[in-house]
Amino acid sequence: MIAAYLRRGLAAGLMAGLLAGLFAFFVGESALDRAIAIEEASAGGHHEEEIFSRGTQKVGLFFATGLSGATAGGIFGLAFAYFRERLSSRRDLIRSVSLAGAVFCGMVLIPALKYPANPPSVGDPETIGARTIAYFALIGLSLLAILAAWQLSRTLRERGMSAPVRRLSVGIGLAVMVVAVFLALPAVPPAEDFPAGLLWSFRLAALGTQAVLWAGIGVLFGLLSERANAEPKRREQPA
Amino acid sequence: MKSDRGEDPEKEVPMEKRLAHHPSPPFWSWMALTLLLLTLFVLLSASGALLAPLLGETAGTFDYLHEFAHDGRHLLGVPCH
Ligand SMILES: [Zn+2]
Repeated sequence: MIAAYLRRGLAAGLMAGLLAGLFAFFVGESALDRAIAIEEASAGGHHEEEIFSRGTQKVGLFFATGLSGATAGGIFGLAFAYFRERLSSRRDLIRSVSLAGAVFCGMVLIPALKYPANPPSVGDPETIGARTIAYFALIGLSLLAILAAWQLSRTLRERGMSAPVRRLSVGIGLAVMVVAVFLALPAVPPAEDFPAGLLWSFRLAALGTQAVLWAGIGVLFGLLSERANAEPKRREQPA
Repeated sequence: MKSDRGEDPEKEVPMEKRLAHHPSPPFWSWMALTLLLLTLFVLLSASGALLAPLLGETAGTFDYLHEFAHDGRHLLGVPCH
């Protein structure tokens, strides 16, 4: 059963990743090209030797989003297998979309508030190691905060707390956790000498790419699950 | 159309009973999870330089992977430069 969810997640993730690649290609590449032009203009004398041409890297875009999509989808499938019975909804499509929404909040939305995506030439290459570790730490902690908020919500519901009070408490709890995580992690220096308009169109494109990825995973995984559920029950009933 | 397909047979079963059918995840699923997380990290993290402490000399070959996946990494929001 878990293996079926894993396979379904890999398939949904691959498709969603390619869709995200299409979005990134049509919406994000122009901002990326302009940022690289700025980088090359400011580099002046020391021109870096590039391993791949820009054209090859645009093919690589689909490789990257497709493969990350499949990998993220596989993880999503395993998570879905674990959370399926613990989610209150009874339809797999709703369950899948709400789980993907929660992952999007923890993995993309909350981290983007502190460490928004940056185009080439923003950021000091000397600090890339520390920034990468801080970024993945932020994702891990944000996901944990979402998980804790969800667990809190379940506990409060079991204790019979009314919905408005419960939502308020969970919202406050999540906000406190997120602020604590933001304060604990190092700040990023502001992007100086980079056109603000271009910076924000790049960041919106990056946010959109990830939104397409997670919306795609949630919807496609849900649809694949609904289709499998609708098939005549030839699989054995659970235990 | 899908909504009148019939209710989920598990509907009336209380949460505890439903969870009893699903004991802790098997070992292989933890291995798969670890492998997937590692793949995602290697694919998206910055460069061979960052993987060098993990892999030593062979980390350099990952620079090609990272350069090829460069645009995707930027647009997926991962720190790069
Ligand atoms: Zn870059």
